[in-house]
This record gives sequence, structure tokens and C-alpha cells, in this order.
Amino acid sequence: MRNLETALIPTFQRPASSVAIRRASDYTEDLAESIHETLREFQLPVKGKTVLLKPNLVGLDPLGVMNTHPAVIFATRESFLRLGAAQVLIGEGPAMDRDTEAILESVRLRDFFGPLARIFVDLNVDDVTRVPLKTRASRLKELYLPKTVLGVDFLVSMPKLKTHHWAGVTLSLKNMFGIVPGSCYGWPKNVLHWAGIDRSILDINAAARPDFAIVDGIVGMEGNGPIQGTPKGSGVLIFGNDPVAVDATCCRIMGLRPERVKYLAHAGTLLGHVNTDKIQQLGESIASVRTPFAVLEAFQGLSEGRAAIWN
Amino acid sequence: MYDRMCPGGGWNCGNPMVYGVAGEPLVIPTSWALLALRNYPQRSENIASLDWLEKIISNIQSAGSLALARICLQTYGRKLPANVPDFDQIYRRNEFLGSLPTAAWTYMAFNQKKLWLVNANGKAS
Repeated sequence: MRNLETALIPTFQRPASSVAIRRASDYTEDLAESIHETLREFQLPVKGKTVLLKPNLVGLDPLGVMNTHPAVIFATRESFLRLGAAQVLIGEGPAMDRDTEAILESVRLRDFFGPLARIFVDLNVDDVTRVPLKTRASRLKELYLPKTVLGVDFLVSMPKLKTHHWAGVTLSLKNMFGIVPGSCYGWPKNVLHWAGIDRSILDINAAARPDFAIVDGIVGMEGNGPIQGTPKGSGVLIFGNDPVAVDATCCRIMGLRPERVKYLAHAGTLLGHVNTDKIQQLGESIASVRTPFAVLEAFQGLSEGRAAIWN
Repeated sequence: MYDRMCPGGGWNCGNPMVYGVAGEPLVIPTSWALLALRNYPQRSENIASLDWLEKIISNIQSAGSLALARICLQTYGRKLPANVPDFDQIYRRNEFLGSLPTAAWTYMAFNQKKLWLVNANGKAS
């Protein structure tokens, strides 16, 4: 079982976070070696533990541009096993499409892993446990969350580097919408949308904060994401032990100001670090991999060099 | 529900258009919607959506969608195309991913009696 006592810590008391940026030009590279080496540097406490990888698998994607690429998921799973993890599961509860198996087949996950029944958990139909919310950022008082998510020892959020038409960006924190079961909250997790996307992101992550994040930025998505945007190659993987710091770093790579992303600004007070002086940068520098992403008109204020738009 | 139909037929989770871009229909919401609207089989929206379902059923690669599409087309009295994927083969790939709803839909789709769903005229479909 994970220790969630460290989820909520005031920023001034939270130790500095670490984020690593690694170059990866395409999905045919030897990703396993790069990912294994990076995870080893973080000295993660996974030996003998059960790890759950939560990729971002949002829809039918034969071109491989909207979902976390299976090559990244496969290399990450292999790396955790090499680090001594007893079991590495993959779990997702897509918000838009009720047919999880169809999504897995469209991204050819089985080509990498073989039969999925023993390693994949459809979080939309998993057994659930009631979790009272400490944050109450939204009007929700509790969440029913999958027992698999709450029962594993180590949770890894694995999003794609994307802009989002309602939240500005969708990265490791927003990716956690996918742990909330559709069987309880509907598709596309309507209760959360009505409670406010930004606020729901905070509540979900306070209840089940990822222990680690790995962002697939080899090919991301700009514009009208998370589904109908345009592919955007950045050629990077971003790793970190603080999902807020990882997302803030991703924003900077995308040419966006993280402190202007509503939910990230709030997350930076209790869930992790947004400010660069509290983020130890490893690997490549942000400046060397910076790839400005286009955003929709409503989010122009997020872009560096633009005036903030508060609404 | 008709207002929420995708342009050209079929349904997704309720977003026929997003920022001016047409949403793509999906098998499961389309099947549920058509089953809910089965008392209006002559409406053009139903026919367009059934045509879409009939056209794409041969490309379905998952047990849940295949079971519901099968139920839906049979409910409307449409014949299944000859090239419908082999259910047994699809089951053996991922074993329903442990999904109880998918197992239930499959049982219903292949239940010979089909007494679980009646049309507006009271006849079992």
C-alpha cells in the first residue's frame, strides 16, 4: 500500500523535487536503456513492490499521436522489472470511449506485451473504495477510486505531452482523470466536468498522488488537444518524482507559463513545486529542448511573451 | 439524443462537434442509443446510424463492441454481414480484460432465446 501522507505538504515545507529531461528522437530508439538508466538515478523504492503504470490512452489512435506510445510503456515496464519490482501492472480508464479493449487494440499494445489480461486493469470497471477528500477543491466530498490504484505500492503517471481544449495542458496531473471509474462517474467522467475540471484535478491528485511521472514528449499534440489536435514532435522524455514539478517543466518546454495554468498554480501550493528554484533539473536543459506548442485562442495567455488572460 | 448524434450518424459520449470539428461516432454509445431509440426504426437518424454500424462491424477488434453491435443489429432485424470478426478469436486475445459487463453483453448477444429485449410491439427481438 502507498503512503499518501506525503501527498499534501505546504510548498515551504516540501523538499526540492527532481526532474530529468532525456532526448529520444523516435519510438524505434532503444528506449529501455535510457529509461532504465534514468529510473536508476532516481533510486526509486520499487524492489519487491507492485507498480502501476497509468498511461494516457484516450481514444482510437491508429496513427499513434494522441496516446502514450506503447513503446514507451513497454520500455518503462521492462525497466521497473529490471529494477526489481515484483509486478508491474498497466491501468487506464478512458474517459471518452467506453471500449477500453478497442483502444488497446488500436494502439497495438498487444504487439508489445502479448495477451493483456494478466497485466492490464480496466480502471473503468475495477472494484472501488470510497475515499473522503481532504482538499475539497471541488464540491465533491468523496471519490470512489479503483482498488487497484489504492492497493499498489508505487503509482506512475505516464501522459503524453499535449495541450487541452478545456484545461490548457494535459500532463501527469490531468492524466489522473483516467483513474476515476466511468462505471461510477459516467463517460466522459461527467461528474468531474460538472464539478470543475481544474478543481477535480486537484482533488483526484490529493487522493491518489502519483509517486512518479514519465511524460511521452517524443511526439506530443498541440492546438485542439487532447484528441483533435496536431502532432508535435519534441523528441524528449520527461521524468520526475513530483508530478507538479514535471508538469511545470513540461509547460516550460512547450513555451507555456505553468503558473498561469489554473490547476497547476493551485497544485503548486500543496501538491508539489512549480517554481524552478525548487526543482533540481537533470539531463538536458529546458532551453535546449524548448519547442513552443500552439494553443487555442482561449489559452493564448499561457504562452510565454503573452499577457495573462484570467477568466 | 437525436440532437447529440454525430453528423452522418452514430453517437460518441455526447460531443457531436468540438470547436467546429465533427466528433467521431463510437460503437458502444451508438449501440446503446439505437437500442434506446428502437421504437423509431423508420427515422432517418436511426437508419443512418444503423448503416454506419453495419459498415464498421467488420473492423471491430474488441469483445464489448462486437457483442453490443451484434445485439443492436439483431434487434433491428438486420442481418449480420458475412465478414463479422470471429468472436472466439477476439475473446482469446484478451479474455474480456476481466470486464464483467463485457462478459454479460456477450452472453446476451449469443443467447438464442433473446427474451431480454422486446420491441415496442411487445415481441421479443
